[in-house]
Parts: sequence; C-alpha cells; structure tokens
Amino acid sequence: MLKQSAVLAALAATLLTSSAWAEQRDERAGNCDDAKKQMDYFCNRENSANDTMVAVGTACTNARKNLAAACEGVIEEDQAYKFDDK
Amino acid sequence: MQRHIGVHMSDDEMKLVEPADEVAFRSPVPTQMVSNGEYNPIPQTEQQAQVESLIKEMADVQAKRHGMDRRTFLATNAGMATAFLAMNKVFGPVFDVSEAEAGDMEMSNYRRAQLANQFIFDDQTHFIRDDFKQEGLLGLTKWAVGAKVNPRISEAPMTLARYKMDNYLKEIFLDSDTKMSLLSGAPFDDPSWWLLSNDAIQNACRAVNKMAGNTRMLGHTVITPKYPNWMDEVDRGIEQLKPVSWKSYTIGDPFGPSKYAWRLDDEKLMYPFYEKAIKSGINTICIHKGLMPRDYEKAFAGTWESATVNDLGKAAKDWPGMNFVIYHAAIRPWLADAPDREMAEFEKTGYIQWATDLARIPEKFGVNNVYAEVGTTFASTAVTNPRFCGALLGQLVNLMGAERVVWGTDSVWYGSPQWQIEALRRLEIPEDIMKKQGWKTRLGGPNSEVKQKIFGLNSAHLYGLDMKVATGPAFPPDKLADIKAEYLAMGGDTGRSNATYGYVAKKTAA
Repeated sequence: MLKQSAVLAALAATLLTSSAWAEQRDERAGNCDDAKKQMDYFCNRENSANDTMVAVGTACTNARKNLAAACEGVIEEDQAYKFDDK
Repeated sequence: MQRHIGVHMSDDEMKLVEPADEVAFRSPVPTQMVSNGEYNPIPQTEQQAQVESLIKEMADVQAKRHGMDRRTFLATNAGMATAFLAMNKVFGPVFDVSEAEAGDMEMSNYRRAQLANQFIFDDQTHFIRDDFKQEGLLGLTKWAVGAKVNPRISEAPMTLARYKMDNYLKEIFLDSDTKMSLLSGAPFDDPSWWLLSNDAIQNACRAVNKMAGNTRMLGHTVITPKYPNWMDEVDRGIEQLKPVSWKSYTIGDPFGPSKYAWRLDDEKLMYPFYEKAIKSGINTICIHKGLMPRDYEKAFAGTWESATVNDLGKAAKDWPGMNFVIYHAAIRPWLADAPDREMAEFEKTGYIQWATDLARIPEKFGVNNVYAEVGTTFASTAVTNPRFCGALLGQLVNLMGAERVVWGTDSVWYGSPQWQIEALRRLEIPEDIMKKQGWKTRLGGPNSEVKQKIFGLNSAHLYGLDMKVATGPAFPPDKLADIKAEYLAMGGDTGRSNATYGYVAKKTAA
C-alpha cells in the first residue's frame, strides 16, 4: 500500500512538473519542433547562397530566441514600442 | 586574382570566377548574374547570353552610325532602348520599344523628356535612421547587384550611407521621375533593426515638404499588434503624428520568424483598431504580405500563414470603411528566387503563389477596398523574367481592376527607381497570355490610362490628393523641381557607366 502511494505521488509530481513546464513555454513563434526547423534553416550559412534573407542575418537571432522560448522555457519579456530618437 | 574585403568564396570557388568590371559586358540591361562575393554566381543562362550577343551586335551598328564607341552609345537613352529591344527578341514582345527609337538619339531623348512630368507616386519607400548599424541590411542591395537588375546600382558605395536620408532624396527625387513618396518603416523582434521611429518618419516629411515648398513626402505610422502598448501608439498616431496611413506586418518581422505574428481578421485584436482608424479619418492600412523563401514551411515554421492573404477577405468585408493596401502584391517568392519555375506554373495553371489569392479576393468576397502594391515584386521580376512580370501585372489589373493596383518600388533598397519606372512604362502583357486567360485590359503605352492609374492616380485617390491628370502642369513647380533642374543641367543624370562590380562565372566554369 505504502509502495503504491509512493508511486502515485511520484507520478503526480511528474505530471505537475511537466504541466508547469508546459505553461512556461512560449509558443507564439511556433512550437519546439517549429523553432528547431527555423534554426536549422536560418542559422545555416550555406543557405545564404540561395536566400538573401539568411544572409541579412537577423532571422537566426529570432530563431535562437524562439527555440529557447518554445523548447527550454527561456522567455524574454515582451518589448514595448519605444524610441529615443525623434 | 586578388580577393577583396568581404569576399567569402573559397580558393577553389575563386578559381571559377573573374572580376565583373573587367570581363562582364557593360549592358544597360542585365545579361549575367554577378556575385557580390558572398556566394557563387550562377553562370550566364542561354537566354541571357543571347540578349548580350544581340545588344553587342546592334550597339556596334548604331555606335558606328553615330560616330562613337559601343560603351558610349550604350550609356545613352538610345542605348537603353537597344537593350529593351534585344530583350524582346529573346523573351518575346514584352517591352514597348521600336527599332527607330534604338537608332535615333533625338527620338529616344524626346521620349524621355516627354515623360519627365508624369505623376509618379511611390507608395513604398524607406530610409534608415542615422544610428542604424545592422550592415546585414545591405544584403538587399547586394541582391540587386548580383541579379543585375539596376545598371546604376554600383554608383553609390556599398555602405549603410546609401540607405540614409540624403542618398534617398538624391536617388528618388533627383535621379528618377518620382514626384511624391510615401515613407515607411518596419518592426523587428530585435529592436536594433527598426529602420525609423514613427516620430522620425513624420519629422522627415515635414523637413522635406518645407524645403520643397510643396507636399512631396507623406508618412506612415507603424503599428505593432500584440506588442504590450501597441494601441497607445495608435492613439499617439491619431492625436499627434497624424500619418496619412498605417503600416503593419502580420508576419511580425519581415526577415525572420516572429513571436508577434497576427491576423487581419482577429476580431478581438484588430477590430477595435479598425473602429478607431475609421473614426479618426486615417482609414488606410498598408500591410506587408508574401515574400517568403522557397522553403518557407521550414524557415517560418509555425508562423508563415500570417504572410498569406487568407485573413484579408473577412476583414475587408467586415470593415468596408477601411482601405487595405497589400504590399508586394502578396507574392510568395522572395526576390524572385526562381522566376522561370513560377512562370512555368502560371502557364500551366494560371496561378501565381499567393498573388493570385489576393487578386481573387474582390470578386470572392464582394469587396472594393483591397489594393495591390508592387514594391520589390516588380523589381525582382521585370528583368529576371519580364514575361512573368507581364503575367503578374496582367492578373492584378484584370482580376482586381486597374484602379486597385498602386506603384511602389521599395526604394531605396535597390538604388534609384528610374530603371523600374522605365520598365513599367515599356511593359505590356504578352498577347498569348491575354488570349489564354481571356483578359480584356492591356497595360498600354507609357502614359496610358491604366499606367497613369498605377503610377499615381490610384494613390492620389487613396490619399485625397487633388490630382486629376497624371502629366504636365497638374503638379506645380517647387523648390525640389528647381534643384533637380540644376542637378540635371550640371550633368547629374549622365554618369551611367553600366559597370557592375563583383564576380562573374568564367565561361569555362559554366
């Protein structure tokens, strides 16, 4: 009985942890698989031969951040529209 | 061969190329892909070789007649006409040009002078703030150099200075026949990439218009749905900035997968904005659509649908008081990555990825508040595959109506827009395509009613400009016109060298 309770408690803890982890992920720019594809495309410099967008360079930064947000739960705060220059 | 700074080709790759300015033919119209050094140039195609051979052959005859060398002849207006003539012989009769024009200096100069007063409103232009440091943006101009779409592209140095305000004014208002421009901006997930602030856009317009003594430049306010304070900026736009229209990106960031992608028909997010916009009288929104890499489902996995127009019909129908100007005509291929393939698809099915979806919206949804703008789309197809360019314009004009297509060039990314203006003046929809598609409306001559509408009258209508005629004295002389006259008198327009800089594939490497 005690052993069974321990197993159930462990299972509940695992579910709670994964649920909390899922809530912390930011999938607005695609899920974890999507972000991996984005990074695989934009962070591969060989693709710049056929795609100027890769050569421009900012997409790889986006893809890295999207991967961190969707796969690792590393979420940057949303930016507000703000400029110092007039 | 010396490897210049910024050239990333390997030793083996360098063996396959030669310096373009030494060996490439100096043509007024591109005849070969030139690399900027970041990638291997594609060897000259059979059709490009034919164009080059014809230009040389015809130019030699004309140059001898006029007592000048070939290079000098090709820098004249007659030389430009010769190049279009050669393209017609290879690609079919797409450009309006005659043998007489190519052979007669006076006739070609007269034609250019006759069209100089044409009202041309550039619906999509950009420059960057002075402290912008992202040199990757030069990739846009490097593409134009590589694709050889603008024979004068290399006249400005390949630095960010070419994207700044002073060069913008020169390239657009002095080096081209453009009369008015709409200055825009763009958002990026990385804030260091933002091109201009909304305040800077309006301040630039005020400064230019004050200097000109006339309204020459109008400005956007960029809105960023899904940013935390985006509606505050809408309110500030209405109360303080007073743009003529709004600009936004459903894809969130034009150059990469963004966490700020959204839909035009998102009732909770966007409908309160449309209500405010209509109430304020600023009821036109310009939206970046299309321009995705060939492998877009991978590159923009999870977000690419925001770049299509599948959110447009419902929004346009629900908000008849808003005008929706769809930039780039929503064409999917980014910088015409394979125009021959797109043309083959059109010949087979009549479908052009995402642009045809846009063209069908007015009829499908019964709306008349949707417009197509052609910035970058025209630039990237007019020379690489003029027949495809004709098919695209034909579809927009015939399915949406000539009053729903507006001119834009995405200048100043590809240098002065004069080459694009000249290409549209001469472009016609191929007759076989007209017949096969059952279309009735042709583009017409350089100053036809259809082209007047595209070049300026449609935008004049959108922005409430008092412009009934697209030529002549309808546009009053001003200080900027005086400056241009002085610039031309000093020979500002005669420096066309037709040289390009970079690398071309060795003939043996093909």
